Amino acid sequence: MNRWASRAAAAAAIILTAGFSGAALAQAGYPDKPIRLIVPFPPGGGTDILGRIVSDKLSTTLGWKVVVENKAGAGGTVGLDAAAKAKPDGYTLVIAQTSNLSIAPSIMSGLPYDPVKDFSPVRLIASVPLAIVVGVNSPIKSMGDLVAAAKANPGKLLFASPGNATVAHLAGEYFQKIAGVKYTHVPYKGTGQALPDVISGRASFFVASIESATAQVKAGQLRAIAVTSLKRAPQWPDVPTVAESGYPGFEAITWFGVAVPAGTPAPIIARLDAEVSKVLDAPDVKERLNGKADVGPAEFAALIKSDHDKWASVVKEAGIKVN
Amino acid sequence: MDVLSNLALGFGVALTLKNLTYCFVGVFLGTLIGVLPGIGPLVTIAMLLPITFGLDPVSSLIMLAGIFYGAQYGGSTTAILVNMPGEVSSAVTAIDGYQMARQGRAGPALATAAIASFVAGIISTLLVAFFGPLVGKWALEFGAAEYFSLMLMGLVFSAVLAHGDLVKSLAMVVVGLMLGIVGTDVTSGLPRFSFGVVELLDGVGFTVVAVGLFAVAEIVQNLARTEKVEVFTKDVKNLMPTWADIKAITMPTLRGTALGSFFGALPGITASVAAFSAYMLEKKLAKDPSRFGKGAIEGVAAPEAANNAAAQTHFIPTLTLGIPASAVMALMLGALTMQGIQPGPQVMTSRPELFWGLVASMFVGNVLLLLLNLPLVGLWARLTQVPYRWLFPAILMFAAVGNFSLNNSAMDVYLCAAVGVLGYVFAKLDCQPAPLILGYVLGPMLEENLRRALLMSEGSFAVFVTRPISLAFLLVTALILLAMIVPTLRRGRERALEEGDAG
Repeated sequence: MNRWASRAAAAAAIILTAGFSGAALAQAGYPDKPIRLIVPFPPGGGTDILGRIVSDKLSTTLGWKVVVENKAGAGGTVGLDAAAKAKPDGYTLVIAQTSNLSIAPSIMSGLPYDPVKDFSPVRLIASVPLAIVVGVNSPIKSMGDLVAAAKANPGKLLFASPGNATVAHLAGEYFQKIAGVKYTHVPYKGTGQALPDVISGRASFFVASIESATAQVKAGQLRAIAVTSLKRAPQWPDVPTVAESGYPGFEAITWFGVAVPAGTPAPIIARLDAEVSKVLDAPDVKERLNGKADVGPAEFAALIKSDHDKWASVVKEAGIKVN
Repeated sequence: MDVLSNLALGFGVALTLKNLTYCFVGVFLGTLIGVLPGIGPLVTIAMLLPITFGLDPVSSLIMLAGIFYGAQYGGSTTAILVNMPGEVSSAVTAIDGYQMARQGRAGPALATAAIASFVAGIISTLLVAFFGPLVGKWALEFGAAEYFSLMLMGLVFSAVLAHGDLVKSLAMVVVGLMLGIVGTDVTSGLPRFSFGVVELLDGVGFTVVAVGLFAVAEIVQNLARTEKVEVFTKDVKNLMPTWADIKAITMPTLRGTALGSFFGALPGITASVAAFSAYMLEKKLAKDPSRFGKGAIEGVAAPEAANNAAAQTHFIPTLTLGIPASAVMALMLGALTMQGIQPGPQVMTSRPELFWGLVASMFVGNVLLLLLNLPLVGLWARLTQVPYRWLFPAILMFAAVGNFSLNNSAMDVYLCAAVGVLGYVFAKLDCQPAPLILGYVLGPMLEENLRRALLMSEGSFAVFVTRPISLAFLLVTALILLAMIVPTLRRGRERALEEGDAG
């Protein structure tokens, strides 16, 4: 008897909640089936972890069924393309980042999607500054030293980056332009391969996400000389920004956000925005996302636009090849 | 003695009931996913990552590591039984292991793989324990020039891999090189041979190539035979290796372990390179190299030992330097970071129970894997008794599912089918797939490091001979070339003399 009673109560509760949220929502009953969250990178990377945090929270706190689908390929292009062509009914979300929405149009001539026309931004979820690091035995101790060394030997300094056309690469090119110096770009396949060369001093300096260099900086193998955000990074309060090192306004960040295919009904976007925002406010999520950047659709769209313009001019002036 | 007391601390951590359980869960899952192609340790660890947040860091690391090296054991099973490498690194095992299975020696082949993996696992874990930090520092010395010279040595060595026609082998290496450079070029960022297909920008995946070339092509060949020939012999010999087998695999296992430990400690090299090198070395040392490719038991023992040794020493750069040697290692570092532990050189001193607990758990895990795998040998071997008409659709299905699940991409399945057709054509032309795989694996690394070394030296080739480690590799390469050319020359001269005498 007891079991029946509790089941009946549970059923009633479900019906009641469903009724309430149905009344509150213009799109009655959303979501009434599983939502897929496209992660355009393989399992395990930073983007994937972000995607899993969001899907996990939406599923456990709201009882939604959010399924992560890793559709990796071509630096995210394959996954973004799949999202762009999905039905705009609120059941397909995608985690997009700077390179997909703001850089890709400038470097890929055959980009199969249009970052502005094909997507509606929902919410920015994280923003990660880059670090400029050198080997601990390097004579370079500040951005001033770096510029002086580059000026003394034009083209001789070796600038390591985790890959061509990454935010880190463009940040290095951007700095060349702003500081009026010249160094040689050495691209690697990710940070893992670049670290030994930077630690041992074979490469002069390295631009990469803060996370990828934190361990070595703590262990005294690398020295951080600057971060690329406008404000100092909370993880590294002692490391100056490039902006405060004499280049005001210099900013290069990798951001991540949730987007949906263009044409998704506005009430659904608003609901998703509200729920994702709640996810980001959860204390355990806040703790894990060090560089939280919680802004809604309008500001997110503005960021996509301003970063697009910035990186397009860097790509053009640095003569980075368009494929 | 310091190491011994540290190990004692480690075993204290690893042998608690809780950690033993996680270790078992890890290696068991690893074995399972190793058997399935496509579903590799990377995907599994990524999916389990959220679960591990609730565990304490040591337990989660022990479990995740178990999945990783457990997969090296499991990967050989399908490679041997049905010519389908479950893991990247077991492609080499397939060459001779599958032939052994066809001759009714699936049992000894599987047992050899398990035993070789076990021996390698134990020895290389000892290396990690005693020399980890030292080796870690040494690995930092490897830059683009060193990697290039090492790869060049490997490629020259691979001329040994050829059995049969040398020209055909070279042609296959070139086809492999070409397949390998499909996709976005690391140095310039430009796409090559991608024909405007977005899915090709990342190149042709290893699973696609290995499964297509080995498993799919083999099925097509078997089905093409019109006469009624059983693929597997019905007469299954003993399940366990004989005493003669054990003697035959002892040295290859030890040599494979040495090579695997070396390559595993270098962050810039994949485990498949270790397996290939071990195989090539055995073939070079064998009294009768023609047995290789036709079911030589050394051809199973050496690469399996190399695989597993590399899987253990892969932890050296990860744990002692905080440098991820592969995507799986990057994931483990991520898991640690999420637990609030900053991986890196200081972990060994600040959290000794973590480092030594993991090292001790590797010993435990390797014993568990042996206990898990040996009894299964009989069961697996019976799979070869399944009529082929039931077996091949199942193999094809797993091949398709595995390839699809890598990127959730149908393109990979089509590509695998296309490579399968290519593999069939190669088989008809009597061209071996092994040199192709080698070119495919080494080619892109060789090119990338050559160009990076020259970029960093401003175009000066001197960098390859002024850096001592690089110079050493080049000298060894020259020696190998001489050792190969001189006998040929002498034989040529003798033949000329004989002909002169006769005439």
